[in-house]
Amino acid sequence: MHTAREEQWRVRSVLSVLSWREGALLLLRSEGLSYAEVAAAVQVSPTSVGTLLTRAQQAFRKEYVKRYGPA
Amino acid sequence: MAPRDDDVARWVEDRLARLEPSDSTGDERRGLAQLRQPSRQPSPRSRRWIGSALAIATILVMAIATPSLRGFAQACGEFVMRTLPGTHATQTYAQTQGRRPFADDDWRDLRGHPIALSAFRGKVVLVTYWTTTCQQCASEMAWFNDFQRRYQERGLEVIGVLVDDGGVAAVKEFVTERPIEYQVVHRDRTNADPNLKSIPTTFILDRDGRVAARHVGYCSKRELETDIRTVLAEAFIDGSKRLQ
Repeated sequence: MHTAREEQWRVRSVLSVLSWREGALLLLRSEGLSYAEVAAAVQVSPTSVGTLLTRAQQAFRKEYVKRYGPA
Repeated sequence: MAPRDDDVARWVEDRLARLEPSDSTGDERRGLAQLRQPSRQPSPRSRRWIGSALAIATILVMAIATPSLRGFAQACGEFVMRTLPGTHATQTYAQTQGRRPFADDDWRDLRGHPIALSAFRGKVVLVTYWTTTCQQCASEMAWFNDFQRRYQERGLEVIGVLVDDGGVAAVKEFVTERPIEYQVVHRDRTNADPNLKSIPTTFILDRDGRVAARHVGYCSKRELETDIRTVLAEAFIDGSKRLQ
């Protein structure tokens, strides 16, 4: 069982290897910003935010599992 | 079987929720979103009109002798600046890609020793150009003290660049008589400086020494602070290795 601090470290590590856009999409959305706000922040079309966010989530999970296993 | 998108989304959300609030606050992320929204630019005519009105207002403010009234008038001016759309036309914010490096310059500390910007690499640096005779710059001094105190631990360094003529000796007394809590350097105004077009001009440099934001002329404390917090937060979004 790893500590909360270690978990934070893991999350940061994974975010650091994603692209800037993927990291920003995940963080901005997790902060509760709407799709329109996220779209404006990362300069993509609001209609493509959903798709890009799903890809970013998949990329995050894939990288996390590759590094630390399916915790 | 591959997990469903909904399950992945919940799984990722759960992990992101474990990050400390201090890593990157909601304010910063909202600031990031706000800054990257395309700004409404006024037409040249309306910009001239706004500029004239502000110039008259500034003269009136300066004409008020009572410090408390002057402070009140200044606060009113800031409020107007913040609420009128398009009046922060001097504010620029560049995404992390495509930022230009800040041109290094011949800076000297108050003892005449050279100060290299590269010494601050790895920090977010606020560089503000000012002169001892600039009233507006004097009002910003307290803001920069505040920024230095509150954001130093998170990696901010404030540098005030005095560009008065006459060398370090001409400004030394002025600086030492005032409660300035950030680094003050001097450069000779007679040297051409590609960074400087107007006084005051303030740059916010990212941790790689590139220009992340620039404010030419008057702007509010809140605008500067939003930029500072955003650029500090970028370290987390853009390269979280630095925070490990």
